[in-house]
Amino acid sequence: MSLLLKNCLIYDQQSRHHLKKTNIFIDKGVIQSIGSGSVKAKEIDLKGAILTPGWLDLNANFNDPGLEHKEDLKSGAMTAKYGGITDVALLPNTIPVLESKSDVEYVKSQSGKPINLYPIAALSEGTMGENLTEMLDLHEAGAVAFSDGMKSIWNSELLVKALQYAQKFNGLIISRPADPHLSRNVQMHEGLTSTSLGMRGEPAISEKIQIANQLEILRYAGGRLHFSMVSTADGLKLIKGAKKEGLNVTCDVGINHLRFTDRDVSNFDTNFKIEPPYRSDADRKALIKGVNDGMIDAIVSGHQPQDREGKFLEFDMASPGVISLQTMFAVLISLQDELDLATAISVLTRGPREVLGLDPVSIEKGSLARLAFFDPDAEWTMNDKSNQSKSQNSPFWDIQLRGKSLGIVIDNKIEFNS
Amino acid sequence: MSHLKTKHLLGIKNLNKEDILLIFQTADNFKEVINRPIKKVPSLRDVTIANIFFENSTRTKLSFELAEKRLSADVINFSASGSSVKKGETLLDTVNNILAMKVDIVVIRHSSPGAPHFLANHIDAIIVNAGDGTHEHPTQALLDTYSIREKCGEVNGKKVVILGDILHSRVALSNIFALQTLGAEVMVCGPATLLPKHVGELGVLVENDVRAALEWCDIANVLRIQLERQEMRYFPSLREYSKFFGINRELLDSLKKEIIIMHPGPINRGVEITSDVADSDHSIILQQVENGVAIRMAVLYLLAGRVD
Repeated sequence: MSLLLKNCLIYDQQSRHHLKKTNIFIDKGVIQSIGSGSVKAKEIDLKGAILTPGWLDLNANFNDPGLEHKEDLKSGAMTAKYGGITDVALLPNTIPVLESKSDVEYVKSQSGKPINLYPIAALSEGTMGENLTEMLDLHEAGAVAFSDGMKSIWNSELLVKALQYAQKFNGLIISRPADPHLSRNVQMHEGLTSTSLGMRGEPAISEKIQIANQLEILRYAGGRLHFSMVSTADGLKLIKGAKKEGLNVTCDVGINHLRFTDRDVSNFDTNFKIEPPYRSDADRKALIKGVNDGMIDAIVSGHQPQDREGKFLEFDMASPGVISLQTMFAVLISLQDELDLATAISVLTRGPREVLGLDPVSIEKGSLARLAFFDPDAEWTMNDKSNQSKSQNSPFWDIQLRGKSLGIVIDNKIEFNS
Repeated sequence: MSHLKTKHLLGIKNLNKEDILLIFQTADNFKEVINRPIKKVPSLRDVTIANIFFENSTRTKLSFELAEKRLSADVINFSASGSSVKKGETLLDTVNNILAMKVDIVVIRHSSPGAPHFLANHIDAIIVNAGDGTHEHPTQALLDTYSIREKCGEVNGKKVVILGDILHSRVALSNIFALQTLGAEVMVCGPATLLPKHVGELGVLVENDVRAALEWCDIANVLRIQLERQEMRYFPSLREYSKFFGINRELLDSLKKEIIIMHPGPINRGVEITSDVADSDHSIILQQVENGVAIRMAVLYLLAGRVD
């Protein structure tokens, strides 16, 4: 059955139809025409909703296998779908970690229902930072990148070898930069707030030091390196310099790091405990600027479900991380005064696909139909009813939000969020 | 009698100047009471207080218990060394179990910063923070500033140096907040490894030289070296610490003026302070202990005013 989407406002900087309100005709999973012409199809009036290419998230945890009571591939995919995200790359920090061909195949077997799932394989066995995984075999099986996920790569020799070894298939190494010693036992960003709360903070240089080190390693070894969840102005500055120099480096930033700062931790709410920690407002503003001026390649969810037992605790005993897939668009809308929405959407759609070397998805005649649509004015609340995740560790829990994902289009199918 | 503007005593940060002065005023009355032959008043006769200590404590616990008994409250004590989580029960479960026995006020000491705030958000009882990790120790700061007021007439305008391990100290942070609220100038002094990197942003002076700090101040509050709360070495040896950061008689005598010495206890004699200083006329260490009971009586009395 072909589809005619009427009255949609296109947000796609790559498209000639960017910011136009128009109709889109989809058949055989491909955009056949935009705007003109009357066709016979199932007509759906989107009533002025924003239509974007489907979003791709480069950093999410679905805890499957291992901790399926927090999230599994099915609930995670549903949560992504409700956020307008059509494609998700999953971190390897499962139990056991994703490091074998069969692990890759397990994720792939659940992909396309209807969200595409891309497995990121462990860089080192058990993500222990000692020995390389079977990168060639994992690549052949379908791993899109290699990373120790939420763990930083502390072993310089390992990173040299990984960057060298992966060049055979132009493989991508993803690093979550943090100095292993300066980030040990930390609760939040080191600054005035951590001092006032008596909590051990992670200094911003923790990230900067490792980015500096790993850029040197990249310069030496060659290959492709991507820094994930960059949180500091100084770290971003180093990456900017390296890009100018022509190093093959990219980076992403967590959606909530564009919104929150260390001051939001002031009331010991464990839903603000996250790694890397929310930084100073100057850092946050630098990240926003990095998105606006194209220095940041992708915005990611950093989706990390935790159960009540892990969060309903004293702050220093609580587990880090938040669920964030479903609230990404609302965060963008809340930042509209600072953040250019069209650029941000590009950094959520085109940017991450470029990082992974996937074909671009665009709203043009002849493109694959992989779309998401949003109402920027819809008000809703993140609560038991609306939440699709198995976990509830959202900083927006019970808070009224503006801006909502309405549904996605994949191939010839449109799926509305209820 | 007026009321505090807060339901709980979680930290000095949540108090304003009027609250602190009200506590002082109330403590004045109780100090008079505890110096009478009959040291007990019936003020909290139908109030039940649980002292829940997840960290070792001798003097704070004794001081609270004495304050509670002199107010005629019913008192129960619960101690567990180490965290409750390690024993398989969460803090909230532990406290809820105790509350099921109909407790009105919980006095809690815990190793986690914010543990009392967490309880205050999730249970009905009135919470008094008796020390939460390296965050706050509000009653200690109240008794310290009360003792300064008693000795000097007022706190406003006084120069106070807090000396030693500021990084691991809840006493330091609460004292900084209380002293600043009452108009004192505050300096922190110690080896740079024991001063939080951003402590200057709290509006305090930062000094690494003990002599310079002592020359500057009217009052020196000497903190205990928290050996038990350090997970790595912050200075090479106790000998070196004592030599370069300890306070001894010779140093005091060489100053241009007399200063007052305070210490929250327990003292490591010969480490941060020598015996001839601790026991000297300069020292108001034992007055601090006495005032501790009066201050805690005042805090409990004022907070209980809201028990229905």
